[in-house]
Amino acid sequence: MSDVIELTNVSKIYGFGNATTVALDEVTLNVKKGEFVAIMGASGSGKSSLLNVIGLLDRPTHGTYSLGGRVVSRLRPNRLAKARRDHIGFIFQSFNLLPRLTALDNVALPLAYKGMTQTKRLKQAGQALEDVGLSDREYYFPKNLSGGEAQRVAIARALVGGPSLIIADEPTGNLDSVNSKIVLELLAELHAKGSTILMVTHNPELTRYATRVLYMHDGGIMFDEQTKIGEVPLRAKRGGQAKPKTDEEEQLEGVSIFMTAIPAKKAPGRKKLTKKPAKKPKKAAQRKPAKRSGNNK
Amino acid sequence: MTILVGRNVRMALKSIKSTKLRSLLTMLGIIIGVASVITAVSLGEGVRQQITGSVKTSAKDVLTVRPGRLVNRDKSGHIVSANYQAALGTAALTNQDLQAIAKLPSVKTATPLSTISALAATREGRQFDSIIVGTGPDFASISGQKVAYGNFFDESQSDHDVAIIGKTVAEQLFQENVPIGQIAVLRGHEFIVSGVFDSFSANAYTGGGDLNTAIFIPYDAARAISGNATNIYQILVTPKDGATESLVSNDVTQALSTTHGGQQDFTVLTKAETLQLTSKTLAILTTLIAGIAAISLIVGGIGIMNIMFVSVTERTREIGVRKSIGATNRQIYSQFSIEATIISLVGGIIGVLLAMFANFCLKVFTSLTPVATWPIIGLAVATSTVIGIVFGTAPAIKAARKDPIESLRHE
Repeated sequence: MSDVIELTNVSKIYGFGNATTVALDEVTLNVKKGEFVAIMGASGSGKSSLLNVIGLLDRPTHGTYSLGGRVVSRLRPNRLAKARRDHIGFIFQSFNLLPRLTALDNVALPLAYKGMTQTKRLKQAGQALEDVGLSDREYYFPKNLSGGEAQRVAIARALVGGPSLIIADEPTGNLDSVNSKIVLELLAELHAKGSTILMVTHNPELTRYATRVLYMHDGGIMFDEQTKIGEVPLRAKRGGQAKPKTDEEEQLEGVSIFMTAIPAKKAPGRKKLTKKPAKKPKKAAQRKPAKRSGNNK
Repeated sequence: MTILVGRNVRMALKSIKSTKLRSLLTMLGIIIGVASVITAVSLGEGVRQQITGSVKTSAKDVLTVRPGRLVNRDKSGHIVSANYQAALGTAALTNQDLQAIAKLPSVKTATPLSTISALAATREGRQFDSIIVGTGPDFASISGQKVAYGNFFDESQSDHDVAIIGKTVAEQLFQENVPIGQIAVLRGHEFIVSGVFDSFSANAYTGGGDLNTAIFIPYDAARAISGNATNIYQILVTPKDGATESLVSNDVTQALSTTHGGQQDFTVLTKAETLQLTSKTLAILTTLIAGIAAISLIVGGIGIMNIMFVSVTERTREIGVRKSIGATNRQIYSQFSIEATIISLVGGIIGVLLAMFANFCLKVFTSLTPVATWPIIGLAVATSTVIGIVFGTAPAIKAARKDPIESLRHE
């Protein structure tokens, strides 16, 4: 299977100077076509930044990103938008349907941006809604849809353009368990048909549907685990925390990326280093010439 | 590049429908601007057409003599510019001037238009503040003004105490439509109403003022009741058969120069020059009024820009969603630009309808006859469209430049 996503040493840094935040820290990731990747991690671990970069909503500060074999990390905003339109389907936690458009129009919108004729795009959008079991809700406005239905419309919108990658950012975050299951079954169905799916979740149970689980921490991928469909990996059960943090890590967290050790522990060592050379050179300078001269003599 | 014009137009109309009051308030500046510009220009055009019509239907060759140097001429005698300050002057022609013109061998008739101050009253004591015009028997035929009831006085009645009244005088002073035979008392003198004029429209030969409120009496009678203190503001001269306009113009100029001690503090205008001067004056006035009205179009444009900025902020999340599903910056720009243009265009169309209504009311309730021509309407609608495009640009750029991630986070 060919790689759909190839991230090589991708970093994303926000801010500058003392206010620098490293959202992604030298991430390298390859995702093959047809994989269902679940991404877990605590808040601020870099999940959303990773999705934004992969979803072409953001550009990496460093590193290379290839989507479907084409390097997209340095594309201009216009080309980025087109690549997003042609290759990526987004599913958001809060559905993000446009309230003034009907379900059918919402689904047809990505096709409109492709320049497809109205008849064609409505036909295609109708088919996508049928695929998610909502053909009877075509002319409903988002406010008249239940949460589960709205998310299914959002899935239809993500699918309608035939993307090579579906990105779901906590797709069940705003849904009850019944609707969560419906949505996940739908995603599983898409996966079974060969779609590549990247899903961020906080719910370990949802990793059952994934074939691979990534655990993120401090902007990096801490663990990358292949799983079997139907199984919840042990790490996922622990809420994505692969190993407990040490006290030192806890104390250093969020201080600075350049700080890898607690200053108090290293300070004595540094003092020795700075003090000794300050005194030694004088003595050494006095002794060594003496020794040398002694030797010479 | 697909910019989805049809879809964006539909979206814009939907947006206007969903926020009716806000949209109406946004459009208000454009509505008022377009309506006032069209009404002002229609009024100017209406008056111009009336004057042109009156000149065309009036006696074939009429020369107008007015006090003050109203125009500046080049060496060949052509008008190079109008001197509007002279029109504001208080200079008047005298009876001596009138007699000098009337005696000229090339002149057929010299009809004065003079005003005296008097309060019109009936025998019953009802009073009406009207303009009293002393004129000659040829006034009606020269000015082309129709007498609706009765007749205008003729040569034989020039020394009679007869009066021909305007329509408003009949309605207000006598409180009837045809008060022929009734008595109008002017400065203690009784005048028999012998005719009622048809409604006056703007006329190049009658000067300013609403002549529907005027009472026309023979010039001699006017002199008699005012103690020879009449102010002649205009003399209408018709040439004798065979005499050309230029010949008469030269004769009149020479005659009046003599009576004015060699000074040319008067203006002799041919029919074409009268038309030219009136049209020019009207064009300047219309442009001035329309220009003032157009300021509200600018204000309207600023209003649209303001609301579009608010709209962009309110719809930040929508922008983020659209960008995430593949909308390019240009497509987002087009969406908001088209929306601003549609708001402005709809405002312009409402403005045109309002102007039509205003014109209709002016026609019905006043003696004015505004004429809204298609070029004026087209220009107003086009201007409102351009305003939408221009003032929608900044908000559209702001929308297009929004960061998709930040936009998606916006609540």
